[in-house]
Amino acid sequence: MIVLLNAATQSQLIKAAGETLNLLLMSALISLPIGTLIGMVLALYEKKVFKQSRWIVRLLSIVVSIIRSIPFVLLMVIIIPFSFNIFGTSIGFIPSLIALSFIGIATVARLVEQAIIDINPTLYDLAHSMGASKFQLFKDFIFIEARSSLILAFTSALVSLLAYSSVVYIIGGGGLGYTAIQIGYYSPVGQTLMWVSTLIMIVIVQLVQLIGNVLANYLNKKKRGF
Amino acid sequence: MIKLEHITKSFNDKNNSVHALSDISLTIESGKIFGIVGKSGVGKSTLLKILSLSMRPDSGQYFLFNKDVTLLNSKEKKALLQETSFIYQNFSLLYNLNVLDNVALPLKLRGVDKVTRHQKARQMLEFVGLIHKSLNYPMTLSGGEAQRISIARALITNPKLFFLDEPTSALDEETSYEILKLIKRLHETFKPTIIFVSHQIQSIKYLCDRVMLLEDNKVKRIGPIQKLDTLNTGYDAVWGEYL
Repeated sequence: MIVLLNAATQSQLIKAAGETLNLLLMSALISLPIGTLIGMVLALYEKKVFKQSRWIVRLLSIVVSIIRSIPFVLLMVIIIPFSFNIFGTSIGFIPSLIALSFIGIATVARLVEQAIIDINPTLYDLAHSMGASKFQLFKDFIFIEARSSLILAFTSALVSLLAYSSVVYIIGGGGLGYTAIQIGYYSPVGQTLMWVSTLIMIVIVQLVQLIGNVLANYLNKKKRGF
Repeated sequence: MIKLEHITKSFNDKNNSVHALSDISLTIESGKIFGIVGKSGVGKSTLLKILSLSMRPDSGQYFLFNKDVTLLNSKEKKALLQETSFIYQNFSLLYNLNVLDNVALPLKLRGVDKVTRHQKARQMLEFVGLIHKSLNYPMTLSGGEAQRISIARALITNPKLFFLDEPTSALDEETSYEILKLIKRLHETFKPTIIFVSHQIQSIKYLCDRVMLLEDNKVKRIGPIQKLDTLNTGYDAVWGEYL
């Protein structure tokens, strides 16, 4: 299908795919570690591993819920003044990355929280009975048992980020959403570009999901036969 | 020596307070197997949590290895916990670690290098008769095998005190007997103190030197097991007649 596009459109498409991958990669690099940390804190408070400063964690949980409740298009618009005040720009890559990172952090936090809450609760007693530190509890018990669920959580978060990235063209973020809608759908000769952009997004999602599934499956030894 | 003096514990919610343990006093001599028996809800689990330092009593004193644990900070408690091991009803193995790594886990937490901890883990697996399962994952094990692995894991740190929380209640009769025999062999070989919580009179009778019967969150009776027969007609009948 891509051969049906002329050279100029092809280079436009390659540039857009690059922008999408760049946004996806950068927002993932920000939201996966921060979201994981927040999700972990929320889950460990839920499991009563930590007890101090409970109100801060409640506040954190409310903030995460609020960010997830705001429609992403609206979140991008709300972030514009913030981006302008801090980075001096209200359009383009920076505000797009900020918006994606906010929603990414909130999404990852909730998915990680759920993955950790779901592990066998007696592991906390076991870790305590062995005199494990809080760090060891996470590294040698929770991470080991939740790792395949965490991989699947990260996979879902990446797929969501890719979906969100398709609308950042509204604030000048570019990407495959721009080629698919702005110069694909709205142009009388852009139908092919719209379909090719969509196809590339599908391929990226399938690849991310495939890698996530294979890795999670490899790390999960809870099935008989390993 | 383990000593509890006038231990009480209550749980409070918004409207009322529930007594989980009332005025529990007991002494357990080193190297003995002490049984705690009672029906569900009488406070066995709460007492075990207090004994294993995962819960604080509301009042009373608890001396473990001659230290008053109610006065210890969390670091000192962790040091004491290194002298103990726990064996659970549901085995509590990590499903994503193979058998060898599960057994070696307590040594990993203490910073022992991989070669040494795996060597020690193999010795423990030899002891429980499952060296051939070293590279298996827990989901491939039977219940009896999983409990043997958790016993090997508990043994690896050479603890002075074992807490056994209903270790055979998830197993069939024949497998339970095999596990009890293994615990007896463990006791004969390593001479640790064992606190064994169970609602199965037969298991208590097979293993324990002395037994405490909990009823209504209090100590009903405490003493040696000598004449308990194969009766299982309710705790009152058994204990009323024989102690």
